[in-house]
Amino acid sequence: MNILNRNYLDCFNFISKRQLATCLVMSLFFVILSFFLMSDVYAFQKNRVNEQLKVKAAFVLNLARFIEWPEETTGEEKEDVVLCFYQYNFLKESINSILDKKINNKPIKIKVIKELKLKGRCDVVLIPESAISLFVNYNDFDDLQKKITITDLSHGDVEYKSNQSHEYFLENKIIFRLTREKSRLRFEVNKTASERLGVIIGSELLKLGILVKDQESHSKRVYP
Amino acid sequence: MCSKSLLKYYSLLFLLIPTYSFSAAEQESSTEREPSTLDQESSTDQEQNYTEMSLQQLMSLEIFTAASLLPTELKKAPGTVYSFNRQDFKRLGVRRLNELLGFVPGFQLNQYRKRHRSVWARGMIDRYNNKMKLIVDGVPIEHVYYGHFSAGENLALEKIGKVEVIIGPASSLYGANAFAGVISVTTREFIGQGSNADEAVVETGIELGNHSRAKGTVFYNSEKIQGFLSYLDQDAPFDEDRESFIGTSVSQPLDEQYKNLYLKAEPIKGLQLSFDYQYSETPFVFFPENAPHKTRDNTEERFYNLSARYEAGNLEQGKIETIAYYVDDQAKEIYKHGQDEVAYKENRDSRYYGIKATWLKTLFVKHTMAFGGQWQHDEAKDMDYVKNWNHNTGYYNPPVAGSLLSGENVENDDYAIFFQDVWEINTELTATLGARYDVFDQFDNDSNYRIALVYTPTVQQTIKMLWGTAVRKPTYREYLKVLENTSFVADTPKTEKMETFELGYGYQWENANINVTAFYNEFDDYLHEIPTPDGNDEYFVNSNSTWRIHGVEVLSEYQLISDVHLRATVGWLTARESGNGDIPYLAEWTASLLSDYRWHSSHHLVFSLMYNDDRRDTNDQSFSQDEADAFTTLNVHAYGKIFENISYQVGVKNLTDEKVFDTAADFDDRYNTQRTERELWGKITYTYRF
Repeated sequence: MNILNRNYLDCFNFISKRQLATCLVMSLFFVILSFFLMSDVYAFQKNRVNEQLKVKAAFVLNLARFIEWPEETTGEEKEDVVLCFYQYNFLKESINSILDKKINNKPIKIKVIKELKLKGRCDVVLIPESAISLFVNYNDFDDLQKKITITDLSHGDVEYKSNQSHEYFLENKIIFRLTREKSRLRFEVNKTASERLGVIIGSELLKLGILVKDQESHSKRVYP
Repeated sequence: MCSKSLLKYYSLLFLLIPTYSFSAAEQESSTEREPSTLDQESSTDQEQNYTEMSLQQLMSLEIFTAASLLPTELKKAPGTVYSFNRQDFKRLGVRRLNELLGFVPGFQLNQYRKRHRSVWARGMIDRYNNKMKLIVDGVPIEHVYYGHFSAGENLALEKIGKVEVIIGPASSLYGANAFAGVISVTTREFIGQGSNADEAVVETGIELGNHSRAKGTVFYNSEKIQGFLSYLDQDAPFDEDRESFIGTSVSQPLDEQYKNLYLKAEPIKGLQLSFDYQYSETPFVFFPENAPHKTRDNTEERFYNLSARYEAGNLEQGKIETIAYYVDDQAKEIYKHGQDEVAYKENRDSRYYGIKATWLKTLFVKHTMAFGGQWQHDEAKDMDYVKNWNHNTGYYNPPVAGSLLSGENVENDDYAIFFQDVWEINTELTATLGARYDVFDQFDNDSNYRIALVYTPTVQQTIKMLWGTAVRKPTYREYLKVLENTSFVADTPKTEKMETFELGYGYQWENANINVTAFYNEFDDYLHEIPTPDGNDEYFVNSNSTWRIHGVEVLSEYQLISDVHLRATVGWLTARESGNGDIPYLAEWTASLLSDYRWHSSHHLVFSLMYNDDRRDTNDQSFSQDEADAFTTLNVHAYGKIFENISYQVGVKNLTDEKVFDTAADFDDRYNTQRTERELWGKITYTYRF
């Protein structure tokens, strides 16, 4: 408080009008900041969260659209494409933004599943980052066949996450993972996983995504 | 005094805020992480339908900001690196590269008596920008005579995509003269490369301001071809009768103009060709206001840069990166009197060209190796001058002619080989080892080294350690300058050398980060300009004793709430010459504080403060009129989008019109120089997508 008082006293002892104006503008500036800190702007912040999640939902929609779907998904007897969230819906209400869209001319349906018995239930499996360790322990590859597996690692440091979770990615259970590059969303493609799970990835995704073998080199930066 | 103490107080307050934030974030950690904000530069508005966008368009959206403002790669880069993209240019309200550099902690900008501002990184003073290196798309940019680069209006930010500033000795990576650091500029990417949309665009901009400023730009971008055109006409933003190094008010014409044509093409994958033409006409010389004869002056410069870059392969199988460049620089200083009669004319025509090739490969899984070689030829084509008339003495009869340089057909061929290994010891620890051997045409050959460790014990923390050396060879002017009006003969200077130790710590909170770097630099044979014993001219000399500069730099960014983003920098240094006390002209403290408030989904209001401590002439206690007082300047600007395709920027630089002086910094008895005055400006940009 002493520092504060002394500085304000300095302000009033000014001789120069310009310096006084500087102090007043600075003070006003921080008063405005404080006001916004205390005011009810958090509601707006929540909207911004949704915007980010909506982009991720649109990403998921695009990933699903550029897959060459197996016949059991596209056949007439199949009524819809089912997106299963393992453990919980990490896209929250933003997933609603894609529910009126179609994948392969089929409407989209959402499920939250707590157990990994996927056959006949899910076409796309969305695994939140916190549930990856559970998912890794699931070794029924027959059950995973023809399922598109996607996880989201874009919250934090992409390189760190890549290193930490490299093992499970290479275990070929997860085909796509959302990552971030600086301020933008990216996705990585595990082609070996797609082959193992019998999912054919469209050329558009292979062109735009970071192939898992390239991922390591992508994350390194050198200054020759 | 108040502005100085207030700024220090606010900086302190600001640096404490993240601590509070961290506690608050921990309490909320049971839910998913708090989000960052959606960037309005890339998105249109809140109601847009992302589901209608292509994957490529979605990938171009900037949806993470704030906590990730220091990108991952930079965080792990060996050494101190700051990166700025186009969004940062807007956020910081900068229109020139040197303004941007004012936001780099540890940098001090000093208005030189001519048009340019000198950039001093970590206290490495010089009247010209020759202690650092400017690289544009891999091509070193300099005026050969001074070894100087201009970082003002000549380098239009509208064509630039990214600026990376690498502080500290980078000679082992970028060669001689990457002494205080490197400013690496990357022009904008082609459409479809990473951040851009998938349609060709034409972006036109019009900027108007006081000082009769009018600037127009056109930028075309597509998948394979890029073009940029700009024209700027203005009065140099100085007070018409500003005080200058001669100690009185001056009479100086202020008209200036800049033109730029830039073309870039990628005819085949991996091959990039570019052509850059810059023209500038700027005021350069001062006459006393009461001079008996009025004169007009300018520096006229034509700068051509032609380059070809080729990249092929990948790190696993081996990757080759090559660049070849040719630069022709034609500069003339002319002043006229009477009916356009040339009073004085000086040519500084030069050219340089070179090639650099680097081969990179990942070996033994954990090592990414880089080997390479470089060659550069530079030459002075025409450095002659002629004097016909002087405002004090009248006509010379006969006219006096001569050369700026003491040699004829001055040219250099320098070669280098270099090596670097990035060794990922484990997931937390990376070591970078670099070495470079330079063969100089005119000076002793030299080796430089760099060892860096980057340790990331947790996702939040980064610890860096770096030891490195650097060398700088004297510029043409420094070792070949012809001294005038004196019989004194100067010794030829040697290369200057430095050794540095750097320790950095970074911490990332949910909504904030802080990076602290401490450095210790030791210089041998520091090259600087001093007056000749008779005081009639200036020459260059290596320091007899060791110069030691150490200091601390802090950068912190904080997302106060989702729409308020704060950024603060603080730099502190102390510089001493062993046996001779403090090194003059340097500010002990520098700081900046910026607040970006998004008051509407597409509109931002930004305040920024720049603080510079006083700068004393510890070299000569008897003359104090080359000393500059501390100052704080306040800048305000706003930016955003009016419509989907129309964006705007308006701003006031130095809102309170603070009268700022900078030191002459010549180790002599010249007076300090008045800096630019208040600038008001506004800019509209229209983007048309095909």
